[in-house]
Amino acid sequence: MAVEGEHQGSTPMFGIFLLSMYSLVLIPLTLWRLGGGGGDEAEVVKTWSSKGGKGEKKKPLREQLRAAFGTRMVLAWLVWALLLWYVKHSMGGIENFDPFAILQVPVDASDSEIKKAYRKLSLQYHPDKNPDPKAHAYFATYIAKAYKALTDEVSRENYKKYGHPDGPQAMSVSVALPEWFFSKDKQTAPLILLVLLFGGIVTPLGIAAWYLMGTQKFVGPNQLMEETIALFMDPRYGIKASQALGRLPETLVCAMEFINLPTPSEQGPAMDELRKTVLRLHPDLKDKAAFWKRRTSVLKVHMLLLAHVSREEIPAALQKDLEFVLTKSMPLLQEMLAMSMLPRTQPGYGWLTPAVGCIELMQCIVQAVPLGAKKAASVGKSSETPAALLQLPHFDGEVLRQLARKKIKTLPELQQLDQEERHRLLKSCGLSGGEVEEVETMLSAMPTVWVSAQCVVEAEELDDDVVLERDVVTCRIQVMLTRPSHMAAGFDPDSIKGKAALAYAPRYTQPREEGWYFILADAAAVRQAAGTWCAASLASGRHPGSSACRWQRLPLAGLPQAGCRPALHAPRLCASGPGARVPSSFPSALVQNASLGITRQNLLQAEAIGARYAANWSAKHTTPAVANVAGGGGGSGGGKPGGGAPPLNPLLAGTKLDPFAANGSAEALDSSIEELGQTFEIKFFAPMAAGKYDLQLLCMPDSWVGCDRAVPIKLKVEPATRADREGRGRRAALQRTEESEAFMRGAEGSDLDSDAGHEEEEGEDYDSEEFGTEESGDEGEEGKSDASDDD
Amino acid sequence: MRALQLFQPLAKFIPEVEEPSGGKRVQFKDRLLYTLVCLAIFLVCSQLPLYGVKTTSGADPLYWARVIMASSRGTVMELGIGPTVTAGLIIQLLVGSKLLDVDTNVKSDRDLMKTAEHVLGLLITVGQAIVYVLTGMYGEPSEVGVVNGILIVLQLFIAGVLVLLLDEMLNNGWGLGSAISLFIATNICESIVWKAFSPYTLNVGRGPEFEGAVIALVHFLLSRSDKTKALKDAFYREGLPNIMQLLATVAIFLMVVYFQGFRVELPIRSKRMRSGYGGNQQTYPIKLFYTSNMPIILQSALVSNLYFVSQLLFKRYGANILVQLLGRWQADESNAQMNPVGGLVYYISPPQSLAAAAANPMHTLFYVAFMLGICAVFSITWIEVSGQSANDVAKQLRDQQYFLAGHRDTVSSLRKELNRYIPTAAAFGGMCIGALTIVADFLGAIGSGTGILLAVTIIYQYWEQYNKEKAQMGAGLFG
Repeated sequence: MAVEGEHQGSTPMFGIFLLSMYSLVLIPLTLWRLGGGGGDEAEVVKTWSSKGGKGEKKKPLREQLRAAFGTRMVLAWLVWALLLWYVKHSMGGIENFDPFAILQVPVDASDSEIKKAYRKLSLQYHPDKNPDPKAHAYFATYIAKAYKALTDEVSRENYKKYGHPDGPQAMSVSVALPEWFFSKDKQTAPLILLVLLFGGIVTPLGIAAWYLMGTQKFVGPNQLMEETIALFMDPRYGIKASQALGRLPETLVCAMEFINLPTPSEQGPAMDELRKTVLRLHPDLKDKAAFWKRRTSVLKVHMLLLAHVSREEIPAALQKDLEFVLTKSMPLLQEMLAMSMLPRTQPGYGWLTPAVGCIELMQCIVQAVPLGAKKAASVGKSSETPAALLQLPHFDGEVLRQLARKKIKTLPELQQLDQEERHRLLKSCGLSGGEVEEVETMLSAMPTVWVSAQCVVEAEELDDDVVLERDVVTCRIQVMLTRPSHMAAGFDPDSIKGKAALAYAPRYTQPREEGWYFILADAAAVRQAAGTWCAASLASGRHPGSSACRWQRLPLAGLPQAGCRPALHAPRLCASGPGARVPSSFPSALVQNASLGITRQNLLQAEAIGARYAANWSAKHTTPAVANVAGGGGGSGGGKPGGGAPPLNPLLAGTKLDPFAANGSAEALDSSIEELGQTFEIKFFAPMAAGKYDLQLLCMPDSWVGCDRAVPIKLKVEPATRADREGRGRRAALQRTEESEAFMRGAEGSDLDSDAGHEEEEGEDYDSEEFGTEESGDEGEEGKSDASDDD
Repeated sequence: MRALQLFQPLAKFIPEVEEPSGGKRVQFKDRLLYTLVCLAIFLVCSQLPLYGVKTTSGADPLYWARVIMASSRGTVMELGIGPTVTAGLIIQLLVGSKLLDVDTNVKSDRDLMKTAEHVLGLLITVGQAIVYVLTGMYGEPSEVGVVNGILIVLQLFIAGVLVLLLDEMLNNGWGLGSAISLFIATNICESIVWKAFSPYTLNVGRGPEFEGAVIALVHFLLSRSDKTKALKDAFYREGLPNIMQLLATVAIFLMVVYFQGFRVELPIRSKRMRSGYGGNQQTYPIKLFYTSNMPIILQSALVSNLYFVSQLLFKRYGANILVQLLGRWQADESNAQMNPVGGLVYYISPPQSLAAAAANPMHTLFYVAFMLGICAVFSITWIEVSGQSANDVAKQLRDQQYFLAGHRDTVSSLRKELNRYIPTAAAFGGMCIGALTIVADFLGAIGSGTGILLAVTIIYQYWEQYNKEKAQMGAGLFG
């Protein structure tokens, strides 16, 4: 190995090195941007806005290019071009032995041509003709060699193999770094080594270490502080089994993130103002020393929250803090939700009350709805509370009172109205034209979900309807989501795609992605608690129309659903479930409800299906379908103003339609039910004791008030025999004879008569009426049969 | 008295890293941090030149062993993890062959075994360092001088202690994986990245060329007027890393990852769980690469040691017929590296390229047979030595109250069933690893077939571990 000289720099080569590395970064980055990556805005879609949907739909190529090539991108490419030009320019200095170029002949030149060219050049450079020593050198090293390389056999072989007619050349090594890097000075060598060691190894790893140290404090998927999680678990400040919506903020404000929030002295006057506002809103807080005697930051956060949900003006000095509180409270609430879902009583069984409360608090914060208005609502009936109306923009107590005078007391009632009628009504309530417009936007964006659920036990190859004790049960959920905006003319269902849907939340500081929680709850304990619950409900006096006699009757019937049929004072439901609702907002020691499983979904797929469904429906049923639809739902259209009413949008909240039911699907799509709706699963442990259980599937959005829905699921758990436990029971037998389909069917059939764990139901069927007598009769019967089953 | 007791008095002289207090698991992020720090120390050490060295040019007798030793010539990491690995292997072999009586269920025994490993490792370090200095690896011993010689040995010894501590730290639950595999993988990845993007330029007569394959491609495309020839040169140039080699490396990487997924899953049942159904159904996976990269490590350890001995012998007694039978060596024309050209070592060394393989089919055939055979043999031996054999696994499962679904609940039935799979998987997996190495060598994958196989399997292990950590960490509901 003959290495000539030490490491030498070579600036033009450094240019090439730089260019290559730069291209390696730039080109993939550009491709990625072109491929549609990077643009965060593109992924979250406003599915309710037909205009936005269209804009999103298909960008022309030019626009896409423009999006990909921001100013920075263009600049980066300019730098690239400059570098390329520089490299090309400086390349001349690097010589390359190419005999054809030296002899100035084409690559495919024949021998005679080569000879001719050689002669011509000899005349020019041969030492006999040209006395210049430089010419001599050039002739010896290049022209003669090149000629030899192209004519002599050995040399040609060498040229082919080693790239030079003389065979392998002395190898010289250099580094493609600028020349100044390698001064001959002995002193700098260790310095360079030091620079390389620290610049190349220690610094990058140090930065990585520092970064890791920095993120150390934050843990979990929500990136919260460790202390926060410890505080939430703390028995004093943390989540308790009976903590419902009204008391959840107390825990929320104890997060370490909020405790560390600084309160500079400039905020003093703003704080005083805020204190006055809060006192005006909640006069009862005046004497509560526990509320005021907290750390300033915690108190500030609590007051900000209270003021925000009441839609009060926040002093400008605290605006930044409010934004922080609002953005941080979402992941915090999610963490609290996860904590309340932690298994407590038995495997997989968590607390339901705080879980539902957390989601409700999310809704209240996003839409800025007072907690008090929300408090008395139940999961299934939440659309009937004043809170559902209060979430609309520019609605306050005064507007509500005005509306009540015009017999509009709940959100579904308002939704059912004709658009013009609604306009007139809202204007008469003192809203300006622009404000009415905003209300319209929100109403058209309100989601409605249709849910169907079924519980099975997933065995290895087959599903089993029979649920044994402690089995892992899979609850398959099918969801479809629609919004009134989907029915609007010119809405394109195909525009619904992306990462998530954007909720309409003008009061929330940031664009809010819509998420849906599906909680599987066991409301069994409600049975004992029902009486208490009703009393509490009456005492609270929040339902002006409730009739005491019915309340008394229902507990006597011993219905699990008893307490939760406030249907009477709520003529129309947005998304109602018939089944037992869990009195989440009533702190009662008797209520031992449990949450079995939870999942968070974004229902974009469900919405796309829903939109297509809606488009399909409106195409098929221009006029005659209304009666059909009303009949199909199983109830009479009592809420509608007579049979001659204008054809109502069947997919609007509060109407009767069951897309999952047989007759619903018949008129729905040409596709099968399986394709109808987004499907996902919740897995949970079956209870330890055999028996019949009334479970509930609670579907709650995290950014809308009053769009919740509860779907009842009946689960029959059979006792497991010893053979079952040891894995050679009936089910094992099923598996061994998997091949013989017939036998399998037979074995299964013996258990099929009991409807164990299988329920496909739709809440809409049991939708209530204005005074709901017929309905409640149904309900009673059902409940009775349930009760007798239980006995 | 047992042989192990001999190490008892030495225990207090050997530095050691304490385990995390109270058996608590260190957080994943912390462990990542410690691993990074380890890596930093290793990388710095493998750049830091030894003080007192006169010359490091000339043939490198350890060239072939550098891959598995993660060592760099002329630096503090001259010995790399070699002594640690060797010591570990020796102790493992002694224990496996029952020459050293260790009850792995007793903590004091395990501690003693660790001490023995460390003592042996440090002894090997000192011995090797002295041999290096005396054999003139750093210049003639007389030229280096006594003081410098002692200094060199001291430096290498300190580096040895450092590696030992780093390895123990990672193994004790402070970091991820083990220092040995981390350093090997780092070393190989470093060389692959270097060969792809090296800024060094070489001039062998046809103008300066970049050493890095990717950079060379850009350079050729820019500087040559004939673009087809430029592309051809960049893809197929000889003597320097080219794009084809890079692609071959990527292909081998993907292939190994693909094969890693091959496994047989035996359904097992737990007796503890009340209902052996649904979620309690578990499987015991038997991977195709049952012994992972172990056969390759053993094979390269064997071969590189053989090379080392053969080279030394050939240097001293080149005329001896027996020595010549073992191996004849010749300096490479381009970089003075000694290459085997005859004898046994020639036949167990990989052919330089596909062309060379075709030119000498005898050599190729012998090499392939040797690789496949030795890998299979080592693989089967290793499962016995390291306690992964059907017998041991059956005992383990039985201790954890597991039994095979559909079989009787006895050790013998478990063993019988496992015996159907494990030895086959081990032998066949070893052969697959060997075959992949051969393919990699023929394709000319960067960093030698052995190296890349080691690197990929190690990286895959890290990936698996990361996934496991993530699954354990994923307490968060809505990750």
